[in-house]
Amino acid sequence: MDIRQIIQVDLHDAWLSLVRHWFRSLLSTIGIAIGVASLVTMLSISSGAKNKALERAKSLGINTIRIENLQKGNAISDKSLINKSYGLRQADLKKLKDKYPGLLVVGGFIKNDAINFRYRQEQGISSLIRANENWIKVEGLEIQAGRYWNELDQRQMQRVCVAGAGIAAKLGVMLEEYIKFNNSHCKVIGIQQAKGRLLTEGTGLSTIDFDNSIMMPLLPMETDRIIGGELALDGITILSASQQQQQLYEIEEQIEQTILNNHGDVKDFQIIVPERIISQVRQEQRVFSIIMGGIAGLSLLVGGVGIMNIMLANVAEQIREIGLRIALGATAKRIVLLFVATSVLLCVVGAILGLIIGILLTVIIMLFVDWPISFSISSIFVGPFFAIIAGVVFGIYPGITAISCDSATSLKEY
Amino acid sequence: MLVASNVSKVFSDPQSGDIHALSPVSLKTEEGEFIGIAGESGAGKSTLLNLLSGLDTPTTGQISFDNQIYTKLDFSEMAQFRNHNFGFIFQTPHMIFHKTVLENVLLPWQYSKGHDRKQIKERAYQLLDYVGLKGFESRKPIVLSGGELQRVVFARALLLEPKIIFADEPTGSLDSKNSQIILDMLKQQSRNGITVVMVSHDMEALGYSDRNIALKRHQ
Repeated sequence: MDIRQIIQVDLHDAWLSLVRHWFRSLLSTIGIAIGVASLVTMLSISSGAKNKALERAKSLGINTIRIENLQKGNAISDKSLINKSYGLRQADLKKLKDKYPGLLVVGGFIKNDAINFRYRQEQGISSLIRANENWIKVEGLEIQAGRYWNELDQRQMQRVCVAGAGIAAKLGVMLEEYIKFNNSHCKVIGIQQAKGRLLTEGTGLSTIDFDNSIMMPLLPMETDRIIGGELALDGITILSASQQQQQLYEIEEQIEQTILNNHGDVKDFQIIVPERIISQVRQEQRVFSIIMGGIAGLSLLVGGVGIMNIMLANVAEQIREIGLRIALGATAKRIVLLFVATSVLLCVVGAILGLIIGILLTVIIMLFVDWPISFSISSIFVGPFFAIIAGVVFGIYPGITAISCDSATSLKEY
Repeated sequence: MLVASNVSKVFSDPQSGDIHALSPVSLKTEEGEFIGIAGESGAGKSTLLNLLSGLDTPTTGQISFDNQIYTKLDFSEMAQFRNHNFGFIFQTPHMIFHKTVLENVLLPWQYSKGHDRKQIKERAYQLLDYVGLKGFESRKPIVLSGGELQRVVFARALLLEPKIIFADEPTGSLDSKNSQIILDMLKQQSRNGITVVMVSHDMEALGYSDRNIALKRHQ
């Protein structure tokens, strides 16, 4: 017999031996099944959480640094009053632009939510974003029709605007027409491509829904806060030429120091580096993987011990059969192989059951709980792989026990 | 040629001390010889058969076949030696009951080297035909009678064309008709050049052998 035939015959014998006591065999696989099921479910949950976090980081821009004003409205802290710092303002924007020429693209913006506007006879509510021309570049916005405002528009304080894709589609906004809001208006010079919104959950940043916003140059409005003759900004977004983690962190540190100096050491702003979210996710994933590995390993160990127990019972039960095989020429290796094949088959059955249970559980969680879950393809291979390893490990000892039986004596026990 | 020189077997038992299962025996067989081993219960007939067939190792002495001493072989070497040279018929027809009759006959092939699957399967069919069990191939042993089972064992013993057949009380659990069938077949194999070593206490069965050895109980 060649090796292929040996494996084929031994697997066939192992299968027959399992089918003979199918219910007992099935029960013995439960430990492995639970181990694999928990692995599949947990990895799917973990993978979902990871994807969500990465999606969020990508939405915010991996090589961006986002600064948000914490000094909003009229409530001003004592420290701010004493140090005469009233949050982010145009001076910060200018300082950062001047300090890092060529290295960083610095965009500043003011966002007004829930602005009532009128286009032709239609009325609507949207966000109004006023920003300098760099902000368009930093956010990676792309035009669908027309153009964005440029430096000249900004300098000349042109009342031009770009409509988000959602608003444009809803109201059929056309170029060169006017949108009116509050006591002001702007001329539509561009329609923006669909962009979605910034996924800021869990970051502390306020979100921007680009598709449902009207965007225009950074012009003053009646409702704006003026600090020392300068417009107060809601945020500054910076695009770095580097995606290197270390460089981003260094730039973050320098920027923080620059603004702090400008604000009399009052931390009335927050800085978010989306790259840090990715690092955190990676770190969390690493911890999660260790915990998962531990749980899966423990489950497979418990399941494997259960299978070894059944295999040892099989040895006692099949002592005459083993004696017969040895009498007819079975070598030690072949007897061990037979038990390993049986054990591996049990583990594979357990792993398949575990996969089915795990996938069902994941689907149930997806349907009934609002968690970000995505099937982890790796779990479909990792679970069965470790189950097979467990099968090999826990089949060897019963196999060794089996070959220690004396064939002449065991045949007498018939 | 099978040669045993002064083989004996002592079983050690911590409670009852040494048990002398077989006093030293010397034996030589020729090719195609049918040898009967007789003796009262406890004389060591089966012990001698187990030693000769390599299922057990002697306490003293050595055994050789075709000038190869096999009493010192390790577990796996001995298993392969048995597979290559010996066929077995036991008093109780040992079977793997969840396998079919054909699969049981093919069992020695599972542990053999260098046999073509198709050819060996063909031979198994021929042997089942020879022992009168044509058409029984896919049946499970559980539905066979004692005589039929022993004939399956006979077919299995012949599968790899052994040089010696060891038969331990092959008719012990059979009626006279089935006993005669088995003994006739053993005789026929002996005439075909296969050495047969048979343990029996049945005088009629021993009448089939060319030569009988009587063992006495150890005093």
